[in-house]
Amino acid sequence: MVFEGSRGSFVGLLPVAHSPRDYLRVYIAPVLGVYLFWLYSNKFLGMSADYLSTMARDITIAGTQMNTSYYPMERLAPIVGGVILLCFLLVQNEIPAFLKGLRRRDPKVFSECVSSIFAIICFVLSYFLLTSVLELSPGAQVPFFFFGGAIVAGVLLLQDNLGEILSWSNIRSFRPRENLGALISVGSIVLFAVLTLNISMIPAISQDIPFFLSAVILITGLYWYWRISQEGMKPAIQAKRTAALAYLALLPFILYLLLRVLYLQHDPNPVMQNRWAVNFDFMDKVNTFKINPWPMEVVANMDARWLFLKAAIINSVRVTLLSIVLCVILGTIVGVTRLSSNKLASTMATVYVEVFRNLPLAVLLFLISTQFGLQAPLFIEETFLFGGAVFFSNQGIWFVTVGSYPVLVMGLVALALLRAGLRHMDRIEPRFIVTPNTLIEHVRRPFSTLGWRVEALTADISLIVAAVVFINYLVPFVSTHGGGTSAVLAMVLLVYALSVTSRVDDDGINSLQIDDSETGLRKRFTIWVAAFSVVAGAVYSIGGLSWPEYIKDRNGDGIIDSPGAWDIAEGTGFEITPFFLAMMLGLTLFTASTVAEIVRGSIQALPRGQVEAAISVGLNPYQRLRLVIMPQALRSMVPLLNNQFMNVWKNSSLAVIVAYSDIFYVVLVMMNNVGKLIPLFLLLLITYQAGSLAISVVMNWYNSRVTSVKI
Amino acid sequence: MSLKGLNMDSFLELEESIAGKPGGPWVTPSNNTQLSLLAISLAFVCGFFGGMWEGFLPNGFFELVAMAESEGASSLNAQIFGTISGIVLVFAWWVTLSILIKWTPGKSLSNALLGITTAWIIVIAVRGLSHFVLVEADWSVVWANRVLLIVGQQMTEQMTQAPGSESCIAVSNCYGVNQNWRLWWILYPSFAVLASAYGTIAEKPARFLVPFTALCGILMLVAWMPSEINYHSVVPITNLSKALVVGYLAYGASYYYCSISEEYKANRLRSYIAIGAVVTFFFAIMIMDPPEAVKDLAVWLGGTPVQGIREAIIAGDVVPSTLDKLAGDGIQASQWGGLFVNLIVATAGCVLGFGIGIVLAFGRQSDQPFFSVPSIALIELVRSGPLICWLWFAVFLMPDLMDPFYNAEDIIRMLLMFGVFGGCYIAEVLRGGLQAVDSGQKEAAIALGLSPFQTKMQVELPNAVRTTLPSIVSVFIGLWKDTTLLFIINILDFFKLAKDLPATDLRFLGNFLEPLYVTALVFWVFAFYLSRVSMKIEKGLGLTSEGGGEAA
Repeated sequence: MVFEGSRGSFVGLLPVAHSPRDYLRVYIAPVLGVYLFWLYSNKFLGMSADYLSTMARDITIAGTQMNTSYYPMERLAPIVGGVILLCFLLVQNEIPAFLKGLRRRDPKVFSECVSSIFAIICFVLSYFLLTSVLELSPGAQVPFFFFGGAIVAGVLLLQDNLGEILSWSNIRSFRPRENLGALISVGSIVLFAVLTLNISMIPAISQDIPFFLSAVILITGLYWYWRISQEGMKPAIQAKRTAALAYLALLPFILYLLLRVLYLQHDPNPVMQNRWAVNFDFMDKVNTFKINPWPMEVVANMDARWLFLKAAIINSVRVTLLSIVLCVILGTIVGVTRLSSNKLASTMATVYVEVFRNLPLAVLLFLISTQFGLQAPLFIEETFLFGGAVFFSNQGIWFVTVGSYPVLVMGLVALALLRAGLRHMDRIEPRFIVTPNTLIEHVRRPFSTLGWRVEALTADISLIVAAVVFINYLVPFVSTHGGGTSAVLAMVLLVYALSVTSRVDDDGINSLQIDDSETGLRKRFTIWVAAFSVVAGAVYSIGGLSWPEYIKDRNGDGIIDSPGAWDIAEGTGFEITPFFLAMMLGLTLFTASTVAEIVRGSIQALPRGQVEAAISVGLNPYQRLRLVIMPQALRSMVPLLNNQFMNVWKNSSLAVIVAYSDIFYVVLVMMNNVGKLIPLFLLLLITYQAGSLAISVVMNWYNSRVTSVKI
Repeated sequence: MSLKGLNMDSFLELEESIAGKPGGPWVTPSNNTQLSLLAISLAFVCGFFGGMWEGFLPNGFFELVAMAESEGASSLNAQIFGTISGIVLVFAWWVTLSILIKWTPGKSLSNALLGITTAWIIVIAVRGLSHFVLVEADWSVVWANRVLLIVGQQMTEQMTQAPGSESCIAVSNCYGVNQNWRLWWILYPSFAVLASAYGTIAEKPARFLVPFTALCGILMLVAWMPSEINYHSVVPITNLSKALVVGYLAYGASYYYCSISEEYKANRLRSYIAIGAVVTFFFAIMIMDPPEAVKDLAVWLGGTPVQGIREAIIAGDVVPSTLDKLAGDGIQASQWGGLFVNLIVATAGCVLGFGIGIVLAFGRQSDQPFFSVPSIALIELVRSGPLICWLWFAVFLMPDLMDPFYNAEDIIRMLLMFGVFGGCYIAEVLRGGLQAVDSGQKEAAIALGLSPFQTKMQVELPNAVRTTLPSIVSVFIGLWKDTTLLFIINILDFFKLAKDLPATDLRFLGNFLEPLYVTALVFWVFAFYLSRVSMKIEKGLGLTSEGGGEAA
């Protein structure tokens, strides 16, 4: 063949370079790239081969396995082969079409996805061969088999003609000269099989398997890189071949990671093996350090680690929930203040936001806890504020609280019933009533047979009942060691009640005619103030209050104890530990600044005309906020607040700074104690992910409620 | 008279916005001004003389100064404290008295209440803070340790035990070799890159030069402050002035170049400056701990390692040349400390994170499952855990995976982890930006014959970055603030050194709060600057919109 080049035969083949930048790009970079790839491939394949040989070596002397890193082939082959198979199926990208074809019961899908099916058959076949028929030598044959197999898979992916080869019509009309690609594919498989079985006869390869395999990868990769850069193929096939090339290039790294993790789980060094083996038995054993949880009590050296983890999760959840509530309140106040016409207030709000948004949370937490510890009065100084209602010391703050919590819950239930009753009185006949037809719709609207007026009231009352049941079963769950099943059932009931009320809303039964005029607002305001005072009075008189009681004489013998033993009596008042206080203050102040920015941004993003129209219609500021601004601002706020709440949940892990026993702190100390790093790390990730998912689910549900009206 | 009238009008407007509209029936437009003047004069009186008669009224200026001096503050500090508190006190009194005299609650109750509450909150906050800063606190713990906080223990030790330092007066006691020259070598290119980046923005020169000079002035002042100084202040001051000059020259050069050339040349300069920033980052790491190749090159060029001729240097016989210094041992990564560590880790997070973020963002939206599945898995995995969790992973579990092929120091692993973490967040941000790119752009690029890689790099990525640049900068700010978490894995960064000062510095046991407030201030300053940059970028790109915002 003759190469026509204007500058001579060979020189015409070289790429053209004009400027130094071109020289760099066209000559130096490829040579450097090839050299670095050669080093990388050799090193990683070498390490992988070592690990694989060690893990495949069976040194059984007198019935006991002397090789601690030994994996029987029944486990090794599926794992390594499975990963290679997974990569093949990912690159080949036929599985979604295969599943769709299966669902449609289309027989043609088998011929379309024949490459993936071929790969799966090869995997199963090789599993049988390795475990029953062949005895491969761990030094050379096992690494060559697996790595060579992976490379052959890569070559087949790049050739991309398995579908053609395996179709019956093509096999019959095979001509070697025209189907060079098919020859290469089949030839590579045959060559691989032959070499694996006879590798001991070719010392050039078996002495340095990584060298040989890296050379194969390099040659294949370079050739296909050149082919792909010619861009003579359809874009879809080009993309697939690029993915296959990436697979081949990343193969040493993937194999190294997989084999290293497998090796670490059976590491001869017992410390490493302890770290990496995924085994949760140690969680059933007794925990050896103490934490300060509330309300669940766990005792060191008596309770299992799972219970300590549960107590730590409850700790994290309560500081997160309280911080979320407080930061929304504070953030809304600051955000709305930033938009007020009072220049002083808006400047102050801006200063607050700018100061706290740019402070690192860790520094803020440490600062708060140190400042509180230094400035708060000592316990023995008996500092009561507000006439005995608050006891303030650097060991904690004790508040006055209600004497009997069930009475408080009953008071709240009374208020909720009042709200349901008021809504019932405001209800008017809906314009259209959707009646349920199918069974599922009947389940979602169980009260539909009662008629529209009673149905909505019953739905509200059922929600209140479900909430009370949930609280009733939640309290033992967070205070005692058990109670999980009943709490879960109660939560299912609550979710069901919530879905019933939202379905009642969606189906239009809940048509309310609310009086939003000045007189109506004033009437509702007075009703609610009266109700709150009546309930508060009832709770106070029936249950009483629990004042923090300072005891100087614990055993009641008339002799005052030494100041170190003075304490607040158990069960009186409501305690907030300095750790919880620091954590809550820090999280709230920090997150409220971001929430303020979100609120301000959402309100400012409203069209100006909305607010001006509201003013011209004659709404007062409260009506403007509640009826016009907030409903629209909430639509853009909720997804951003979702992010912030997940940040609060993840930032609660900084409790290790203030020595608050949250999940991360407890797991960290457990890791130091038992050294089982990977299982505990997995628990940590799972817990934080579960919390984030829960927050996402709730916020997405709320988002769908808020955006249910199309604007 | 008109100028005075204008001032009076704007003053009355200010008063109305803070205190509310006058509501009392005795207020007429004619005596409005006189009532305001009455309020101001009464406020001055209360502000100056409050508290002087057995605690009647909150303490005014004179009382506060007397109180401060009785608590042991120096007379200058007491005067400053008195002045600051006096000013806010007069302000609060003015607001209160205007509200009372003009009876604004009659007409705008909420405004008046807001005004009074805010004004007195300001008084309490400012008085408390200035009392702490000027009267209670003893800042010498920070002054004495300023070098330690900036560069960490190893470099401070080398500096204070080098000949010429006051700590080892007898030459025989000195054993260190001053390594601070490495810092100055990092400072010059950083200032040059920063100044030339500002030079490409076509603004009035004074808008950059004045703040830049002020910043250098403050740095020189901090370096010069003679309280508890443990180094020769001449050295940092000369180096800072040289860096200032370098900054001026770089700014002038890039400003001139951008003013005479076309837009595409200015854009090319901007991309070169960006590359320069990345090169400076790697240069900084290399200069602190030069690899063997650089040291061997310096020896081959004629230098002698300073460790070898240390005795001669200490005895004063030999002055080490640049080649000698380059040939000497560097500071190992595990010995880095102070603010330098925070800056390096944050920069690594940003630089590496940006690169990793681009790869992950494109991988995530690819239609090849081999790219998209691992990208999505990695992003969701890394974002599921808090950063502290991943930093802990990097210290304890990552070495097991990485040691066979790269035995890295703790700090290098921290850099990588910050890069991966920042990369996942930037990938999420970029994903939104990439989705917002007009598909017509991509189709036009393909029609022109650009390869998929070129389409991504030249068309999609610039569009996406432009749209999401403020969010990317906010991720950078978050990474900077998160470098404070390094102390949990016992890396001696600024925060850890500062917070342990009361326990480790035996001269100042018990001064817990002062180092913490300085830490908060330093971190706050950097983050605030970055957020200002982000706001300027937003305005420059035209991405902000001001809509209806008047709420209750």
